[in-house]
Amino acid sequence: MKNIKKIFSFALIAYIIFSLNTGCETPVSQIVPYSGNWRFIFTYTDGSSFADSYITIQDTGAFCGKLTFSRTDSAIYIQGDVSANGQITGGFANDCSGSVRGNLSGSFTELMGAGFASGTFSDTVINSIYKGSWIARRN
Amino acid sequence: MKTQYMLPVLFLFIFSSAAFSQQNQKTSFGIFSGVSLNTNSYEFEDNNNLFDTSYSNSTKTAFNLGMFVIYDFDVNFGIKFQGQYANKGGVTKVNTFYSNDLTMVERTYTNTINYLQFALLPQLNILFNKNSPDSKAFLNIGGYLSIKLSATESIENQTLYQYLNTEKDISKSLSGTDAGLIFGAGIIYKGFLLDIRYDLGLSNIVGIEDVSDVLSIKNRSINFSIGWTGGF
Repeated sequence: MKNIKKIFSFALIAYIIFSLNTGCETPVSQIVPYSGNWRFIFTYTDGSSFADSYITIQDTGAFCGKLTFSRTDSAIYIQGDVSANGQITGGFANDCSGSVRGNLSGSFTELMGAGFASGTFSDTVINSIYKGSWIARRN
Repeated sequence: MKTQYMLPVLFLFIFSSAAFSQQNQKTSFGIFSGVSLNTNSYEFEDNNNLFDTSYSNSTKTAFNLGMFVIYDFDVNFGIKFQGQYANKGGVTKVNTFYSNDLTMVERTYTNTINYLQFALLPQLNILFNKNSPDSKAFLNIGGYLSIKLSATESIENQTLYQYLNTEKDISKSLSGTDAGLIFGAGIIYKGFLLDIRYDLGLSNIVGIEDVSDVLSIKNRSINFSIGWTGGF
């Protein structure tokens, strides 16, 4: 009798976990092909890299991640959105809920499983030298 | 002055080669078919070395079919011209791990690139018995040139509870040709052929201008074939 109770409880818990998890998943057809973890590297117009960031692109294509400056260790946030066809738009902010300034644009490409993205940015609100290009890869 | 010497030397060389060929020439042809294990090698060539741990490659099994002509200069040395249908590509898995607002997805890319492939392969023959030239072992090292016919990418998206398969035409994203080296070996026994070849692609097959500067994808293929060969 004890065993039956145990088995019944275990099955019930497993069913509840299963049901809850199924509900949490975004429908797979709505997940952007570029969702996942990416590493971004930012370079100035002269080609020297100055900051990098590990960013998670969410199922919807939205993202917000910390951008750490390699020399000063200070950080700002980059926020944006990737469309299903790989176009990225966004900018810079003081935190993930803050207002976005400047400009971050570019495109994502995925060919035979290899993901790559590149584009340009400018955040001349903080400093006129904050402009250049960025590249990113799945990480 | 140099030209005056060179012309007779060249004439003698051509004449002696032709005379040798007429005495020893043997031309044979053959057909073959088999399976190939294909994969792609990926290399990012940007200045900032971004390590990537999310990829895993595995082989894709495909079918090949072709024909060849061999011209033997002597019993131990010949040259093979081969034309075949080659199905190349590979399988790449990319994993996305679960976190906030991110569904865990395993994406499996099965890449299929169909080529018409031509190869020129110098061949070293080792006869089993001097009296039976139709049974021998051989070694090939040469080059190939492939012309792309079509290319598709099948993407399987597998989450914990869902599955979605999509297919994409990627022929415009890949270059029209591929070139590389072939290393092969085999045996011919009374006309029946058993052959193993390794195709080492040397060309970057990425055909998108900006992306090909930083991403290099190359074809790799091991082919096992059986066939038949006979003389003209």
